[in-house]
This record gives sequence, structure tokens and C-alpha cells, in this order.
Amino acid sequence: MSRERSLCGKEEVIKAAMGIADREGMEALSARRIAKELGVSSMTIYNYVKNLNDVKKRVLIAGFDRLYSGVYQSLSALEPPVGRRTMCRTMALEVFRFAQANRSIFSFMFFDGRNLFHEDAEVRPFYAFMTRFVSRPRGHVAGWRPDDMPFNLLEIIITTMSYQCAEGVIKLTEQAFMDHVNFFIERCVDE
Amino acid sequence: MPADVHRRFLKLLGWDGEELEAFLPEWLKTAEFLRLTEADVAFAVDEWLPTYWDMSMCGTRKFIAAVIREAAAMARAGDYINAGESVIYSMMPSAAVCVYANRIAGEGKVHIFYPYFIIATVWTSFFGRELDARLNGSGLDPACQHCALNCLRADSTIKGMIAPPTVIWNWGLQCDEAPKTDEMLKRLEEAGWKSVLTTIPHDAPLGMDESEDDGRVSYLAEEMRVAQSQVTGYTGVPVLDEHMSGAMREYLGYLRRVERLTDLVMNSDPVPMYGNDLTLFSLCMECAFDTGYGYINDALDTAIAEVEQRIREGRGVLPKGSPKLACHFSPLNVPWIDKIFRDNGVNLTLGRMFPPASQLIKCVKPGDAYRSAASMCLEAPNNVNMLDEVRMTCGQLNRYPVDGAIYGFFAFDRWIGALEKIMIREAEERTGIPHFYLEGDFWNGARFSLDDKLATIRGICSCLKISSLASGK
Repeated sequence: MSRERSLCGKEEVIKAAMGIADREGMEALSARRIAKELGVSSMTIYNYVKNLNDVKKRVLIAGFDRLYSGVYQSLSALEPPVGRRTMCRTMALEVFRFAQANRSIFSFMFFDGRNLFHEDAEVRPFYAFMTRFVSRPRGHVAGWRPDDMPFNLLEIIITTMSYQCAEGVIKLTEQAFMDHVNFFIERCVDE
Repeated sequence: MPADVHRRFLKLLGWDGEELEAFLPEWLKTAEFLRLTEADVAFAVDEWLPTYWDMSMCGTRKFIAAVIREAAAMARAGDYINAGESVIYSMMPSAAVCVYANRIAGEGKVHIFYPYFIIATVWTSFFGRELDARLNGSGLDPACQHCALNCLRADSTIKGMIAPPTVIWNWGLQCDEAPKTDEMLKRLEEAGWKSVLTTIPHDAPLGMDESEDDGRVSYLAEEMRVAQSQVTGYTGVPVLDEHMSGAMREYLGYLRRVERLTDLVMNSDPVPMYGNDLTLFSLCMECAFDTGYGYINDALDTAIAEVEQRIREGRGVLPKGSPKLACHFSPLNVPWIDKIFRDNGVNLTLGRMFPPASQLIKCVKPGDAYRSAASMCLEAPNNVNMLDEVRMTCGQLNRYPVDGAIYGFFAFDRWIGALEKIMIREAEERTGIPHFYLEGDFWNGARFSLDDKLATIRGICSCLKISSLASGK
């Protein structure tokens, strides 16, 4: 009688899921596929996670961790003070590069996964990054709301173009992408 | 020598020489009462305390020592009963003033303890022992998200770990699980303990400022008065106005110190103190110690002086400009949370977001002390309706320069846990400060893992650091 291998914890399941998503895409993610990767039965997976959506949520959060860690590294390498336009450009470029390197996870983070989880309290703060990180100086809500619109639009432009490019819907070089971003920033974002 | 590790533990917390040797036998009994093995104590001394607490701060060591002294006093509860004295157990959250007034009135013959709160705090905060691992046999399945304090209560009662008190003063100000556990123990386990309940219905309209509502304050004041008369029925010690006034004075003295320390820490850049340590000092906001306010006030005065010194020297736990994240839960029960944030460049601050003393002092009016106590109780954010809590939370967030707020870890709580996610959105809308959330249970770290939370916390830290760069900090 074979004895089932036990896992170290939930993190082992999430790491395996991230690996599958990276290599084969989010669409390949299933309890059976994760179980195969880890050499255990599908039922064992459910000892560590509630359901497949629980795994997907953790993959999505791990994606944001990767993305924002990269954004922060790039921004902190710049000579301070960093102006708003420079921040927008740097973030746009990081998002574009992340999308090309993590096609499936990026698509999930900003499209299918967003529909699933954007109201989840743990996930919600990771969206609307342009308004949350760049637009709003600290203070009362009334102080920043009128300024949100260009940042919302810029985020849509960045994520949509990055997605389309990563999925092969449009073909753009990094420079061509940044030309579009610059076109918008110069007209709509104050320094 | 078996006592060596215990000596090292006491020495770490500031005991020395004859005082250490005099306290050692009592601590050994306390460790036995707390089911702490030598390995547990060695782990605390060598790993847990130095990793998660700023043991270079004398104030922190003194406050931990004050909690240990309280645990030691609690371990003697059976002796007090046998000597014909009265012992009152109480539950969190409570009106500390009402419970403490019994200690004053008793003049050494009435003892007050919060056994489940103290045991849970000592285990999780200072010894890294999860409650799930200790709790079994209570019949309360941890997977059902019961409050770990109530599981502990049921389990410790069934196992005879805690001596039966003269009376247990049970509070259901906010969460109804404590009274339910009380009923379960009485009916199913025949614990035979005497209990008195103070509760308030959750029928306040959303947004009502409950501490300003005369009817609500009167109701709670009357509940407290009736409960006190029942408690007196068991202890035989009447609590007079002068005892309530004395308790109020001591409580306010403590609150003022907490406010002073909080103001110093929150208005400093760099932040001079760990988030765990700052929260530790507000431990007695909703409870009282049988060992009194002497030890904890001394610890607070010491910490205030140390923090002032650090501010003068420009010393902080992280570099100047590091983001500050206000914490709505009690991080000290899961102390690694504070450390992960700190390791990722973010200060966790303002644990529990209690109202400052200056706000609570406004509730104290001449005349009926129970009205003042009731009004103060209703000025505590976790005792009131969700939008009233939002008002108080926003007051705290606007009082101090914070870069974000973190909520969560109340998954076990039938009141806060149910409404918190809605509350966050409202508070974020009102303040404009980014709000984050972590699923979990701060009483019981065994129900989630560091690895599980790491990506989320790192993501939050990156968000806050990006915001700091954007604001030119």
C-alpha cells in the first residue's frame, strides 16, 4: 500500500502553481495538474487550499508582489526627487516588461483574475496603481479626486497595450509602446 | 541545572540578584501553571524574544515583566480562594475601570484577573506557542473560526487548568461568543462557576455616535451597575463611588502615558519603536491587572524616556522616511507580522487604533461614575456600530502622519470580522489613505503561515514605498 507524500505547506502548492502558470499558462492550472507536479493526489492539494480559486488568488497576489517589487527597484534607482512624469514613465515601462515576461499571469492579474477578485479585500488595494501610488498626495479625499482621471486613463492604456502586445494582438517594440505613453503623459499629466 | 534557563529568562526581563532569587520559585510555579516547559522558556530567551521584541529597550522588558508578574499572580488564584479571599475573572473587552474598582474596594481581599487574555498573550507573544496546538478537548473546532480566547476558556475549564473563581464577570459588549461559551460551559460541562453578564444590544443605528447618545450611555451604565451589585453579592465587597473614582484616576493616569508614548512614536521620523512594542503598552486599555498600575506605569515612563532619547539622537528602527502603516488589529499576538513589515522597509504602528486619552477624558463627567465608565466604553472603537468605529478610526488616521492602514486578522470575530471589510472601504473613502487587508486570526497564528502571507505583505510594502517615492519622501 503506497503512502501519500505530505507537503510542507500551502506555499509549496502556490509555488508549484506559479511554476505551471509561468510555463504553461493560467489555463493549465488545475488541482490535478498541481498534484501531478508535486507527486501527490488531487485530494492532498485540498488539505492545504480551500479550492482552486484560493490557489488562483495567491498566484495573482504573488504576481503583484513580483510586479511592484520590480517597479520599486526601478524607481529607487532614479535620482531623487522623482517627478510625476518620470514615475509614470518608469511604471509604464516596468508593467510592459512584466507583461512580456509573465504573459499568462499578467493577463490573469488585469483581466480574468481582476473580474474574479477585484472586490476581494486582500486583492483590491493592488489595483488602480496609478491613482494610488502617483496621483494622490496624502490628505483628504477631496484633495485628490479631481486629479484621478488622467491616471485612471493612463493605467488603462498601459495595461491594455501591454496585454495586447503580450498576447500578440498588436506588435509593438518597447520604444513604440513608450512613444504612446509619452504622448499621453505630455498632454495629460502635470510634472 | 534546570532553573538556569528560568534564571536567564527572568534576568532578560530585568530581574537581578536577590530579587531574582526571591521571584524564581514563584516563576517556576507560574511556568508550570502556564504549561511552559524548559524548552519553551529556552526558546523564548534565545530566539523568540530577541527576534520579535526590542529587548534593548528597558521599557519593553519591564512591560513584559509586568505581564509575567500578572501571570504569576493569576497562578495563585486557587491559593487566594483557599485563604477565603475573592477572585473575579473577567473577559476582554471589558470596562477596565469597573473591574479594577473591585480590587480597590477589596483592599487586598478581592483579586481581579483576565486569565484567558493573559495566558493567550503570554503564549503567543512571548513564547511563540500557538493556541491551536494547546487547545483540544474543548469541543470547539478551530476550523469553525471560534475565538481562540473562548476555546482557551472552555478547554482550560474542562481540564481544570484554571482555579474556579468566586465569580466570573463576563462581558458581551461587542461579541456574543463569550456569553455563549459561558452558557455552553454551564449547560454541557457543568462547570458550576458563578457568572455575571454585562451586555449591550447591537441595535444602534449605523453612524450613531454611541458615546454621545444619552439613552445608550444610560442603558450601559445601568447594566454595569446591576452587574456590579451581582458581583458584590458573590464577593461581599460593595463598590462605592469613591472606589470607582479611584479606579478612574488610575486608569486615566495609564491612558495619558499611553497617549504620550503614542504621540512621540507616531510623530517621529524615523520611527523610534517597533510596532509590537508600541502595541504592548496599550495592552491594558480594555482590561486591568491585579498587580495594579505601578509596574506598567513604570514601564511606560521608562519607555517614554527611552523614546525621547532616541528621538533626540535621531535613531529609528528603520531609516528616516520609511512608510508608516497603522495597524487595526493587535500585532503582538502574531509578532512575526511586524517583523516582516520591518524587514521589508515599513513601520507597523498604532496597534488596535484605540482612541487617545484626551478623547476618553471628555467622557468623564462629575457625578455618576458608571455613566462616565459607560461613556468611555462607548468611545472604544470595537464596542460600537461600524460607522461609529469608522469615525473613531478616521480620527486616529487623521491625527497622525501615516501612509496606509492595515486591517484583518479578525476572521474569528463575529462582530468586527463580519463588518470589517465594509468598514475599510468607508474609512479609505473618508481619509484618502490607502487601506490594506490580511486574512487571519491574530489570536491564533497556527491558522495561517508566514509563507502564505509573505507575498501579500511584500506587495503591500512595495506599494507603500512606491507611494513614498511619489510623495518625495
